[in-house]
Amino acid sequence: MMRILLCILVCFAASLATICVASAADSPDQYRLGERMYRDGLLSDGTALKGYVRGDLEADGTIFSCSNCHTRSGLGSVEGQVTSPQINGASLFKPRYLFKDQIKNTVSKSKGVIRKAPALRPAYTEETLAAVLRGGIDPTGRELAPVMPRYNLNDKDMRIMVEYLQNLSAVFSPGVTDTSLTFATIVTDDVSPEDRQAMLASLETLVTINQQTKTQRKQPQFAKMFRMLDTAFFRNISINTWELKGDPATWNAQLDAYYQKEPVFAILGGISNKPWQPIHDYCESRQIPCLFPITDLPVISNTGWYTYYASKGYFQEGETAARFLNSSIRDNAGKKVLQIVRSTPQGEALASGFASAWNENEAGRGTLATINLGKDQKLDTPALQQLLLQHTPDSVVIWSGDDTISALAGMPSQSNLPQIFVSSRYVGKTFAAIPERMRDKLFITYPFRLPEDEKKFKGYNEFLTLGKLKQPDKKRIATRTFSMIHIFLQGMKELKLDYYRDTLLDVIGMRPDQYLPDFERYSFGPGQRYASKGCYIVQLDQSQTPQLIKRSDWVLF
Amino acid sequence: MMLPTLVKNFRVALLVQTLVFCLSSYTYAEPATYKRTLEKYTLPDVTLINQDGKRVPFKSIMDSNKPVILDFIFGTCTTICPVLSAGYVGLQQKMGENSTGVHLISISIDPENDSPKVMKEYLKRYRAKPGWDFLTGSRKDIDTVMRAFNAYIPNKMSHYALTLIHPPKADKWIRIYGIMSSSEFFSETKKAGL
Ligand code: HEC
Repeated sequence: MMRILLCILVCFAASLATICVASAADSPDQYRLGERMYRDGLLSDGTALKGYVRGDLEADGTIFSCSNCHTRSGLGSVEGQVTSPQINGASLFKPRYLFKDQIKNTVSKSKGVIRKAPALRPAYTEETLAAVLRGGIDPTGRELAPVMPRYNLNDKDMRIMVEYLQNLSAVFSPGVTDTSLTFATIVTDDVSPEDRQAMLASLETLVTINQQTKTQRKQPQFAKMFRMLDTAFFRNISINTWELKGDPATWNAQLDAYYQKEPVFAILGGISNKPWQPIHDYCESRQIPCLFPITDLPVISNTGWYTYYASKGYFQEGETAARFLNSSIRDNAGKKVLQIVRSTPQGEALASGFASAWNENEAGRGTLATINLGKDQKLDTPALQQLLLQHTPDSVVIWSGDDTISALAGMPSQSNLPQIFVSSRYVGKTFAAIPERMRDKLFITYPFRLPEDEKKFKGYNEFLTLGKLKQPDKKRIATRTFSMIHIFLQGMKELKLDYYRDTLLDVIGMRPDQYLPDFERYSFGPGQRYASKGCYIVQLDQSQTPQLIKRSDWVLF
Repeated sequence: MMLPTLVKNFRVALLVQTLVFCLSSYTYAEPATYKRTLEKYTLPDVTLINQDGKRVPFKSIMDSNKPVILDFIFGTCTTICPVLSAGYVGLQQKMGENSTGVHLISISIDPENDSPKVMKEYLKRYRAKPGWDFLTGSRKDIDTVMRAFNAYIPNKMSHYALTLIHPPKADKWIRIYGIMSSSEFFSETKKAGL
């Protein structure tokens, strides 16, 4: 029995692969027009595609398009009771069976029996597809549910649409063969050997477990987590480490060279202390998914598709400070805020998040003055005092590194301090030096779950690193890698045998909230690319090793 | 074949899972028409935030002499929201100049992502006219609102189509489960006192 089932799985995969090669786009321009129609609802002449839902509800394609419901890769979505089915090339142009009939047919065929179980619907042809898109009647004569719009498409545009669907998710993405699945991860040369190891150790475990599943020497403690590799486990998984060296402007060429040598299906994680931008751009241009790299300097974008980030990093802390200020001085528009920004990628990301949220609330916000500090310009107590004297702010926001603490600690006790905001991540972990008298003035952005609540995630850092780390996981690299692998495995499970990159991104986008180490929640949604949406504002209590006290919700508006 | 039982179970689980998935596409349960009931609800005392970042005491939505219409959506949703929101667009179109004669309210079921900025962009994309507000809030407050309308949706991907209509001064809400055509929606709104 098991042999038969395995055989079915393999046949099923193989049959997908053969259908797929059959069609190739007639011309790239034509394909681009189809893509625009499918994703943005624009016809070849640039006007909006019009459709009707439930008879007379107009559905303008520029408001919502095919990809809204059927997803970008065409593999469909399920929302509550409404299923938008698969409409990719590999599904539309062959008969659809109930899965059990599909199995029955394959088994019968292998035994030489030819009477097949009936199909739910026959394969679409160009004509029947046009008919279903215009009139909502499928080839069996069934009328589609009224949620699926009936579209006005002239013959020329219909041709473009049909051709697009023929080619949509029709062949597996690069990096997949019948026997292998190839991935990469990225390490840049500014990363310390310890940090590098903290990420790579878990990825090595991922490869080993898959190998062990194949060779049947399984470790039961991983069974639950790795059940998600089921669909992949008869393939060899390999993860190449792409090392990037030197000037980030040269990373693109280095990445390309690695890719040319061996194409990968997706990039798992990755780590850098430098801005992620060049890698992000590379992934967009090559259309390679990159899952949850360890970076606090991600690209902030509404339109990025290929990289999933755990959070917006420093930017998100800056946003949180501005929202907290905006809501606390809401009724007092005259209040003055001074922002001191160190000219580093960290300082600038914090300031840019701050500006973005500050500008959201045009009513009632205070006035903002910003001072830039050079990369190596010292921020000490006299410099800080000078700035406070000059600007007399009600609140001061300091986006600088660990020099912030000594500058603050040196402030004379009698001085009348404004509210002070700093970033816990940028400042580092030296808050004990803050004098007790100053603590009620100090507000800290803290983008993680608070330590006492994090206790229930103890041990996650070692689950996949298997004790290979020589140092504690202070920078949360092992835990963030754990979360990446967890979400990746869930994605693989949902992907089933549909090895299309966009499908992997689509299915991750439809996952429910995940409760994992570090962040209160990883939450998803179609097209959303920053999983953790929150950040606390905390204060220090009066004890010698100060504890953090929450002063805000996880998500502020 | 000497596969360990665990592996066997995995494969069976996978098949069953795929089977269930495929079946679900065809045990299609969306009602052919909508279901209408009258219900009494108590509005909770919470403060939500609208697309302009303004705080809105939720109970204040009832301080009007217009029909109030509520639905639950989120900014990046796939199937249900486009159709519900197309209903709002259609209604506003039918009312023409008089779009503010009804107060349309969409409540986010993905409040952590639906910041005022996201909500504003959503309304812009749908070319909403004045009279349509999108509200978000803390997860706790949003949960309270969903529960108050017997509409708790713990996972946004298990979203369903619900429209709630309140005729001015009435003590009951019209609860509509399913999707109305635009003429049905218009006539329901008229019945509610437009
Ligand atoms: C509002 C959501 C929505 C939008 C937008 C939408 N669809 Fe659909 N579509 C559906 C649903 C739901 C079904 C299933 C209907 C049924 O089976 O009764 C469906 C069914 C189909 C089918 C039939 C599949 C089959 O196996 O018989 C095709 C083909 C299709 N859609 C293509 C498209 C194309 C092309 C577009 C864009 C021009 C589009 N759809 C836009 C929701 C949508």
